[in-house]
Amino acid sequence: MLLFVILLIAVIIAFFAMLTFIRTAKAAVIMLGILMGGLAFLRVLGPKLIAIINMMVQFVQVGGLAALTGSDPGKGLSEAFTKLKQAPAPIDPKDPVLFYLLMIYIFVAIGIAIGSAKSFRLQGKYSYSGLLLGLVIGYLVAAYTIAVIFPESAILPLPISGIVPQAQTAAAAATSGPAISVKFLEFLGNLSSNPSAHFIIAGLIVVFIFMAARLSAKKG
Amino acid sequence: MGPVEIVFITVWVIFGIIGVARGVWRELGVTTMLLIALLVLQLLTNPTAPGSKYWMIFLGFFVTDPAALQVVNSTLAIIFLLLMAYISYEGETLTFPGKGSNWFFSLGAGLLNGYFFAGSIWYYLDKAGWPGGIIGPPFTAFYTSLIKLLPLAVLPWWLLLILVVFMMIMRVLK
Repeated sequence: MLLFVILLIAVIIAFFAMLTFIRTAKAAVIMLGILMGGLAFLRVLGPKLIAIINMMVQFVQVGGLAALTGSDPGKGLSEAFTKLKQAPAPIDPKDPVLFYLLMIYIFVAIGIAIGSAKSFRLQGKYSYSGLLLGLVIGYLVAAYTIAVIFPESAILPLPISGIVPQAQTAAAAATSGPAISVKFLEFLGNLSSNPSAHFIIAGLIVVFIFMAARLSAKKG
Repeated sequence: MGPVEIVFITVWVIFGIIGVARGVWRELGVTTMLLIALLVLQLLTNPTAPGSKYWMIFLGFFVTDPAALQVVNSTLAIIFLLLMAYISYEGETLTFPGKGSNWFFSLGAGLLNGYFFAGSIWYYLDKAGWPGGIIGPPFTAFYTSLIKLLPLAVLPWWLLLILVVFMMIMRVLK
């Protein structure tokens, strides 16, 4: 599982790095700004946002304006409030992590959409400063994604705490070393201790380069 | 899995994506350049290599403390690698003559370059004892296993020389 999480983290970070590599650094700064601003917003006003969304959805569920302005407005109002209190909350205020993750993705999507504007289109080939900022954005997205979806393997420290709880087991795993697939570690250990390891690796490189140079030439 | 491994795998994946974007022919050119760079570094910095003695004598003129010598040695090696990687990726140096593209081999060549580049930088940072004090022991089991399989840890200078010659032959073969 941990190996999969590591690969997922790497892919997410690499994706954002590449995304900003082909755009201007300004687009990356805006994306990072929106994401950081969004995280700060969720940290400070997250519970209030959930309360407002819950109230609005419940209001629609119980009949909304129709319940408030029925034939008997007074009775309709009290009935509506009673129903409103009884209606199930769409977002559980005690466990809002999935909602927060969704909000983080929305902030990222907004950042990507703004960054796609014509004014941020890259004039040259690549943007190396954009790449660096993309690594930071990728880290943020990966850290919160892993903390929510795989809390037991959440190995990345969260820059803004209090949004998503980080599991104790993950912190312990990060400090005491990983429980990476034993078989994979055994394989690496066996290969590294093999006296012919240099021949094996060099042989694999030679075979790959030969195939790449010959087979690609045939296809081309 | 610690932060070092994550950074390494991330850089590795980025090199793979860059490989797909640039195509197998350019990537093979970069592979040749990186192999030449690794050969030079092995000849100079590996204690068992013929050039190591002279390189250490040269560095000894500027630094005497063994720990500082290792840091300077690793820093110069990393700067050299960065320079070689920059030259390789910016120009059309040693690009293999070929047409068409194959995403599988492009990805593979990109990942191979990532292994050479990120793996070598990791190797030298480890040799220098991770200067800066941000990263330090205890390292994970994954780290200690993988460090023995990094290109400069596993490929001696004479094997790198064979690989460079092989790359040159593959470049001129039609």
